[in-house]
Amino acid sequence: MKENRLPYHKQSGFKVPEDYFGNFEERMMVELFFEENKLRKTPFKVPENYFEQLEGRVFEKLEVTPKKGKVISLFNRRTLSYVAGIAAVLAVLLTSVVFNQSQDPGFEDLDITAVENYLLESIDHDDPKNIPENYDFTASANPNIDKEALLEYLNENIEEPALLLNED
Amino acid sequence: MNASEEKLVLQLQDPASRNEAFRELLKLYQERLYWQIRNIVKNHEDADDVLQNTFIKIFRNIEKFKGESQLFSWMYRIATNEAISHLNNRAKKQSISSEELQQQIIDNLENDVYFEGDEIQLKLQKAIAALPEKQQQVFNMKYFQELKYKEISDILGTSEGALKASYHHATKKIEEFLKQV
Repeated sequence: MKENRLPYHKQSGFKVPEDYFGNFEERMMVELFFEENKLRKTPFKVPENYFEQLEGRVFEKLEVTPKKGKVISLFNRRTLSYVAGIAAVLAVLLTSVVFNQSQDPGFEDLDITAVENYLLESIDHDDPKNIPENYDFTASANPNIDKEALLEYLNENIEEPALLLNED
Repeated sequence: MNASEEKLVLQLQDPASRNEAFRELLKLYQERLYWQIRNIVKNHEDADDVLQNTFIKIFRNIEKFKGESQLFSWMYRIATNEAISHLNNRAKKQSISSEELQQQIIDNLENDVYFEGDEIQLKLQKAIAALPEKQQQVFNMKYFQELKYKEISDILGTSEGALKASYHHATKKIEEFLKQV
């Protein structure tokens, strides 16, 4: 059949996309197929009053879900590997610090107040073994001692008090 | 962005008028966004979840909207991304591929109380599910929602020429699928 073409003046100014007429027939046939089969209408439906109630439900959800930033799980695989790596490095550092420390700390490392408190609490002052070797027993070294009371105490407790009590 | 959209955006970005403007936004776009989502996720319960999350995202991110695109395109993009993420998460949770999930969704349609399609419409859904993701989106937006290529181009960030080609391929494949079955 002879194609029925209207005269077309190229100077009309109108243009059509490239190959528009080339696949027009094919496109029309596809469209017709869909129309014939009444496929245009959506097969989905929604519950009754769904859209009327949506506003309230969205506002409700906005109130109960506080605004929050992106939640990043602490325990995803990548984070876990970083944490494990850092923990391993810290463990090695701590171990080397502990084992490299001197096993015999010097007296300069001791806290003087702590040592004094320890001695006051733990030494039995009644035990003669605890009296320092260079302790000065002379009366002049102990001016607060009442001499008479001391002699009385020695008379009662020691056989030869004169041997112990040296007068300067 | 047209004048009324611009006004609505300004109201949404102002804390004093935000809630009232958001109600207006919901009224204007809830159905359109719902159908965009529903065509992707297919079942109503999922569409409802995704739609609510979409509006919450819109509400909380409206201050970041700079007006470089139409408000409508921006919201459609959020809805589309939310719907696709929802499907990806479902597939991940069930340890199945996206294709297997699509098949599962289509199989469930037959017993879905909110699906009232006849046999040929069910076949059409099967044919759409067999398309590549991008062709599915283009077909749904063009065919069911009757969006213009320009609008689809703004939403998907694809050229109009590429969209026309996608739509053409999609319709050809669907026609062949329907004739075979």
